[in-house]
Amino acid sequence: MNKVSIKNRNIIHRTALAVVMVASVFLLAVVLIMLLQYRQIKRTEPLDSPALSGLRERYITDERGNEQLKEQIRQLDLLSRRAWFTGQDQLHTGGFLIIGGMIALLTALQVAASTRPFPETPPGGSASTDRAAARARIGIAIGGGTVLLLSVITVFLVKPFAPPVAKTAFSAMKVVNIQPAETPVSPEEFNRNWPFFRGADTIGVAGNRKLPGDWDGKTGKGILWKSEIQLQGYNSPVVWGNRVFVSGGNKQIRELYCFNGTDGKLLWRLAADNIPGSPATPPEVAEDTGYAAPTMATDGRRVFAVFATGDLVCADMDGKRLWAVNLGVPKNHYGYSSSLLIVDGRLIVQFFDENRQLLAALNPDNGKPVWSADRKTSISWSSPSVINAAGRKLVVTITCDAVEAFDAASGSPVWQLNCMGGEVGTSAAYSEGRILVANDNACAAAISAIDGKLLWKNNELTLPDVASPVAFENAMYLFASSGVVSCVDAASGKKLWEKELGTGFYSSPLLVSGRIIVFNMEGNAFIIKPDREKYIQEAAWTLGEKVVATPAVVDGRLYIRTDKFLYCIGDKTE
Amino acid sequence: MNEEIKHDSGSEKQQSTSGLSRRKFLKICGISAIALAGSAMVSKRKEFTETVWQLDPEKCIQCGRCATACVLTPSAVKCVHCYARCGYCDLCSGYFVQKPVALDTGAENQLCPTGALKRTFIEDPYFEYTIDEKLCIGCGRCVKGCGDFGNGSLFLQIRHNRCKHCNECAIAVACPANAFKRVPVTNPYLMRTDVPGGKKA
Amino acid sequence: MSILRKMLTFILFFAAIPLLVAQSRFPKPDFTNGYKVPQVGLLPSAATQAERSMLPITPYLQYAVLGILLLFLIFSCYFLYRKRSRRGVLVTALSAVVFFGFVVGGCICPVGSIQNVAAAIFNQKFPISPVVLGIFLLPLFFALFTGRVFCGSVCPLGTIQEIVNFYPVKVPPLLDRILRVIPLFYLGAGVLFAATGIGFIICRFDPFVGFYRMSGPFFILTAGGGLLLLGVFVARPYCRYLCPYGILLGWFSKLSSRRVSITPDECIRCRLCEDVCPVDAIMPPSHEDREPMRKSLRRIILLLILLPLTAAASGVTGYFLGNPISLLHPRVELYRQVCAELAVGERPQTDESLAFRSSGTPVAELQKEVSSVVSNIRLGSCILGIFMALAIMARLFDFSKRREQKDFQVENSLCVCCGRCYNVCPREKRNRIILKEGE
Repeated sequence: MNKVSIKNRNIIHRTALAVVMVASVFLLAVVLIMLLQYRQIKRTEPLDSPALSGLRERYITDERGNEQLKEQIRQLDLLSRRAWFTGQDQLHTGGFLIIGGMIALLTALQVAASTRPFPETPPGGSASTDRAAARARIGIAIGGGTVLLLSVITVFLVKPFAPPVAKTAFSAMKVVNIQPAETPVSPEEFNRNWPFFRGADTIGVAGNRKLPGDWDGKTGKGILWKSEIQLQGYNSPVVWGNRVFVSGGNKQIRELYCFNGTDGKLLWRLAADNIPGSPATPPEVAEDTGYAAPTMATDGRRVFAVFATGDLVCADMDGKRLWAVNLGVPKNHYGYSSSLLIVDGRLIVQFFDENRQLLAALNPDNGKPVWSADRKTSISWSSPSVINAAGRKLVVTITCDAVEAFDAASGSPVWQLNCMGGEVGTSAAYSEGRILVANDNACAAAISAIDGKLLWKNNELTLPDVASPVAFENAMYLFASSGVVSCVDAASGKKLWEKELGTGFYSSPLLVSGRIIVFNMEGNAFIIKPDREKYIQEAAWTLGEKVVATPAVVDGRLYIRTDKFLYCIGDKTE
Repeated sequence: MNEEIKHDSGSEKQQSTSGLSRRKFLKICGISAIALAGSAMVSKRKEFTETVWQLDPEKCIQCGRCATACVLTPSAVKCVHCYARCGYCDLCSGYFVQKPVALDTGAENQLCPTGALKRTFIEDPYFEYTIDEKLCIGCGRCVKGCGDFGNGSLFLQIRHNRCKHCNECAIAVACPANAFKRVPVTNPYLMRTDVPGGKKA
Repeated sequence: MSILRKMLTFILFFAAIPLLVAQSRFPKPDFTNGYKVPQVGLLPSAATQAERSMLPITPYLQYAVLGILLLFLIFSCYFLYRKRSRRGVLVTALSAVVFFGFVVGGCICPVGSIQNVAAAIFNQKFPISPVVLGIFLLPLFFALFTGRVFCGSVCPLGTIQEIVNFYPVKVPPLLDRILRVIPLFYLGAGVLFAATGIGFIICRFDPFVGFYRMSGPFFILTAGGGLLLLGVFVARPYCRYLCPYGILLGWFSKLSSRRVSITPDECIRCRLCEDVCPVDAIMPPSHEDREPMRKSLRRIILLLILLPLTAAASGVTGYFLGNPISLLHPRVELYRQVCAELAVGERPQTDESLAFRSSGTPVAELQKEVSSVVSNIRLGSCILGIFMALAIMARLFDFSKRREQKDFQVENSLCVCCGRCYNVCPREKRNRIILKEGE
């Protein structure tokens, strides 16, 4: 270095500075171009141009034969691929350009720095030791204080996350232990009454009950009373003691009704309104589902009703509203239709819509969830059933994809079997360890209740899509919407017989005292003796009005709901 | 001058002897603390090996973020084909868009945005599908198609020859299904090797 | 057979009926023309060369990286303390940029490894490896004996800034002191976030790793470029005002007896070294006119009184700051989303909630997980608050001590061992020769 004269040193310094300038401008330009390109590439998903996907969509849906469009797609596709890959290559090249530029820049800077003229004057004096220390203390205090201040501000500005409690019952997912009611409702009491859709056992088997003898709706013979129900609904009556409950609704209002079982007088009605979270405009529903498709449930102390708006209402037996929540607005193109049931003092709600499939057990005292099972399966119009298997109670649900079983005590999923399809509206039947399901567009199948194994599957049957199957002595009886009745062996899935009856069935069959009673859509009731060999019809009666709901059978009386009326059928002498 | 230097070093020594014992003590404390913490941490662990990132195809939901979230472009995630699982279908739902107009290699019928999935005729009615990893960008569209309607023989994997082994994998941060995890370097792939149920962790 | 198969395929495709068992819909074909089904290779027993190339670098190579780190540290010590050569240090730094940066690709580095260690300490399931542990401990171990040699010539983040710093300007001392508080909190946040599973923020916001990979998120690349531009004038902005590992190294190097000694000879008080030091680590000799002893004593007592108060205040603040911090946790975010979907019903699903639902985990389980995460974060943030207060107070104590020194001396916890002061000191042997010849 000593050999380099001051003059030369200055020249080198200036040249180096010039190189620095050139290299910096070059680098800046490359970096700018690259940043722009990089942003472009990273921002859009590779090769996902809206123009191309629009063309593709058009080609596939509307103009499947359009050769010109096809050619256009191919060209655009090629163009975008080429652009993308060229862009990548350019970025790569750009990276090397930057590295090269950097090396030139750094070298020039190094040279420039090392040939910098010597400082003329030595650096000035520094602050006193005490003052430097004081400054340092102030700096540290300011720094620390600022962070503390910012933290405090953040604490006050950002609201801590609390799960939204007020809106729905499902949002607070805390597992709570319910206090047992003072006098628990005994299973016998449930069995004596008709607390749920398809009876106390939820599978349409009612045991030994007297059925009314001869009756005729047209002449009024055997009709004990007939009462008008204010609002329409496809739910079925539930009965406890002397009280009969149904619900009804339209787009404007939804109501619960209680009738006196003795004379059919309306004891009370209760509007399901002013419920927090309930939608201002109820969702659109199909006409043949309506706003009050789910059947109510009762435990003899309270009644529960749920509507297509997601409103769940609990009232005491005298019509006083105890609580009400909105479960969320069901996204359901026909309308929410899964019925309620009560297992071991918990209200089971199956809320399966297009977005979520949530099975929950609520505390009947306040509507708070005891457990909830939230699983992605699919929408369903079917109702849950309770089945005793291997010493525990299972809640069985059927969706458009799968049959699933949940432990009734904890809500934990026990098994799941993907065997369904289409749009499932039927609920399960049960016979000797087998869960029997049947729905149109899917199949009839038997599933082992213990482990969820598929035992058999048969899709060569005429299957129901609304009326649930019923099982008796190892045979399953199906009542299809087309009017075909079939009997299927529950052990093998083989069809035993089939009978064409003309009018279709929406109302679910019940097994009462060893006989199947079922209403067809024209309002004709059939008493069928279950038999594996052939169709045996023991009696047929006429109500004379369309029947969609499922009847309730209590104390020798048959309660059946039609569009407008609630009928009570029985022997007058009793 | 000589004297001054001596004096200087003397003062240094004086300083250091007064500070040394404390320093040494602290140092011993520090080292033993590190050693203790380290050994405690190591001894409790079952696995104490090098790891690399990998994605679990059983958890993957094919959201497409692998293609965009990786620090590399194109991504280090590529599609892999388990031939033993493949049905060799003519209408491959991983290869064709839904409702294709014709079962040919036209761009308008292909699902793959880069044409990385190749289709070769084997014998009627079987076609072999192979992946050109140079073109594959890891978007997972074919994986979704194959998983939704086919046998699930296509799946995504991180290719370790491309992966930069970031300490925090950028795709793992972006992954909605929590499918990315650190796996031992000795077993760096989570492959689907055979028919379903044949091998699963 | 083939027609049936085709029909089945078509039906399936158009009807999109979910089938009995997912993903074994089509049977294995039986080929008649002798076609062999290719094996899915790429298992550890990879057979072909192509397959072998897809395996990650073997553990041995990773151990080699650890060994090279050790070598680099030894070399930089040698150049710094034995050779007293700035040039040697610079060459080591350049090689570190090339090796740890471009060859290894940036990861894993000791700065990021803080989080691996933190996560491994607080989460038994987090995998930690010998190499990561070694990479974390080795520079600290060296700092204990030789100061921050790692910063000067090994760290890929520091060295890239070192080689661009050509026109150093002094940061105003007050501003410098204020900004130097940031890394302390960055370290705290990095440890807290890693330990509670929020994420590795130190890696996520590593500004320079994108250059080494020539790819990375847009924001990081531009931020890194900006920092490098700044680094031409302000020496090592990342090291001084952000780097969390520098804090650890600083603490450890306080115990180091070895330090960069500016002049081996008599100091002529030319102040060139103080002026050239890029990180203001050179302390001038103490002045004669000091404040009275009583004043210093009073200050120390005041600080001692303030100590528990500030610790308590920041502990409480930390606890409540846990709430906003927990919102950053991915599981908490997922839970919020799921709750919002449940509450509103019409809120569009995200990929995250979709994946969560299809995993079949009950919401109650997620809720349990989230509540434990939140309480962990609150606790951690509270402890961290107290710790940060103590660290700040310790710094204040440091500057309240009476410092008496005769010469220009290097403050070990700040010095990044770049060796610039060697170059300018007129009493340095080599420089004396140059000066003599220049005269």
